Amino acid sequence: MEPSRAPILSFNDVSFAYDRTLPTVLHDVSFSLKPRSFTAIVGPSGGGKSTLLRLAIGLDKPTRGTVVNTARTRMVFQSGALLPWLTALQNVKLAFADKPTGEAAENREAHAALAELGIREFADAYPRNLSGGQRQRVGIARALVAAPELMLLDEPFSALDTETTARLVEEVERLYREKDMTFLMVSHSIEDAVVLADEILVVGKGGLQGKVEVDIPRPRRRDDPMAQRLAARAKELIGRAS
Amino acid sequence: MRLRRVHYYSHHGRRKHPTTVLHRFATGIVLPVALVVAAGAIVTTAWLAPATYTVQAGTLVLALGASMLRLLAAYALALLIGVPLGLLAERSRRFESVLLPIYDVMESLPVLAFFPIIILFFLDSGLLEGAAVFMIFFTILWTISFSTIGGMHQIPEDVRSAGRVFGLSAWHRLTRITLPALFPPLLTASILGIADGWNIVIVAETLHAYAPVNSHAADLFGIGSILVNASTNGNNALLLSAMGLLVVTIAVVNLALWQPLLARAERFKFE
Repeated sequence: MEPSRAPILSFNDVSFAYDRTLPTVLHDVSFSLKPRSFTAIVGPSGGGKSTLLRLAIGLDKPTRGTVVNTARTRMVFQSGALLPWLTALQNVKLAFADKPTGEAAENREAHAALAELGIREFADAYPRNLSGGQRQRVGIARALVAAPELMLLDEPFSALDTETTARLVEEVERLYREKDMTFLMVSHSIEDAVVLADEILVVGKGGLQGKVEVDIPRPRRRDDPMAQRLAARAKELIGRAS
Repeated sequence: MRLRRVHYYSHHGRRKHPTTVLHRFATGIVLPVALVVAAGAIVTTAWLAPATYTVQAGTLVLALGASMLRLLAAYALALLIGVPLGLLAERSRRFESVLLPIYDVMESLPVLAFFPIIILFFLDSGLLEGAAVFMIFFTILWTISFSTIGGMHQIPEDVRSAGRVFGLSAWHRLTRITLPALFPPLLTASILGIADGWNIVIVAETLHAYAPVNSHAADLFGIGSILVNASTNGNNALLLSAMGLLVVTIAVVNLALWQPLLARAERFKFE
């Protein structure tokens, strides 16, 4: 039987303002995510990109319109959002809070997630003793456990150097290929978006300003002429949205 | 022999250079005690006075214990009430706009000015001990509340969101994220609050000086009332002994309790 292709996340004419007294950040935004797709959101700073993620996971409520999310959702934060008083393993196990499976099973799964991200030997290390890239890997491992269906990535590479970013982009690409998950990533890097996403949404001036379909075979390279053409197209849309 | 190296942490969170246990003992206990006792002895010329009375060392220690119990009770109450008050004010912008001005005024109130009324209130309820504890509690309370508010502002937005994203209940968000994150600011507030508390202990035990006439409020037994009465009665040796014991206690608490906790608090700080 063919798996259901119904969207697992849809925004229907969503508007949002942080406060009634403040200007509206998003106006009538509509889009949906198909299962097993990778969508990137790009756009100028302050355009409401991260707000879309917060709305998607229910951290904020739309002032108008509806957000329908039927998926078990996890999020990777820009800063990693690790608790400094917990070890890497304990930080990962935090993700079982809403679905406890018992100490032994949680330990096993958390260790497996850390191993998958190549940082098993740092399980007992505290965040302050990890590099920026290792911390972000712990953040990804934490989002991976407890079988999420939708993974939200909020500027996951913005605090990392170029080399670490390249390695983590490869990791995320591998996870997308190997896992039965849908990805929605906010990024300030058009190049990362082109390498990872099937579809790029350009957000700016409080709304969706355009869409770029990325139909290049995987794995992709930044210096691929086709990737560069699509990146230029996305940048042009961002220019108009600024 | 190599001496063990330890770090000294200022109460204000600034990490200082490594030092040795011996050095810390000298600068943390011996020097402060020597300075205070020497200054007191010179000013009071106690060493010239004939020993016309006996200083009961056991009584002094008991008095110190009584004062510390008052301080501890007031501090525990201040934590129990001050942290929720801080969390309440931080809950929303609207709450903050209403509660912060109230806290500001309450913090600025000179609690000693209200001491006679407080004494009368507790005298009527037959709990004079409560008057001293309340004075100390009220002094520490606002330091704890404002540190809670400041500490909450230091928790990164991503970390707060993570608690909700990973499905932690409100109780688990409080116990697993908020309270551990508040450990460093609350520790600093505790050190400063208890220091303020010691100031108040000195006067809060000397009820006769503040109680309205004919209220018959007797002084409370404690190191504070002994200090004040020794000074009033010219018992300089007793005054110096009580001062010395107080400084030794405060210095030992700093070395044995606050320093290890300050070192531990480093682990709870966000970068």
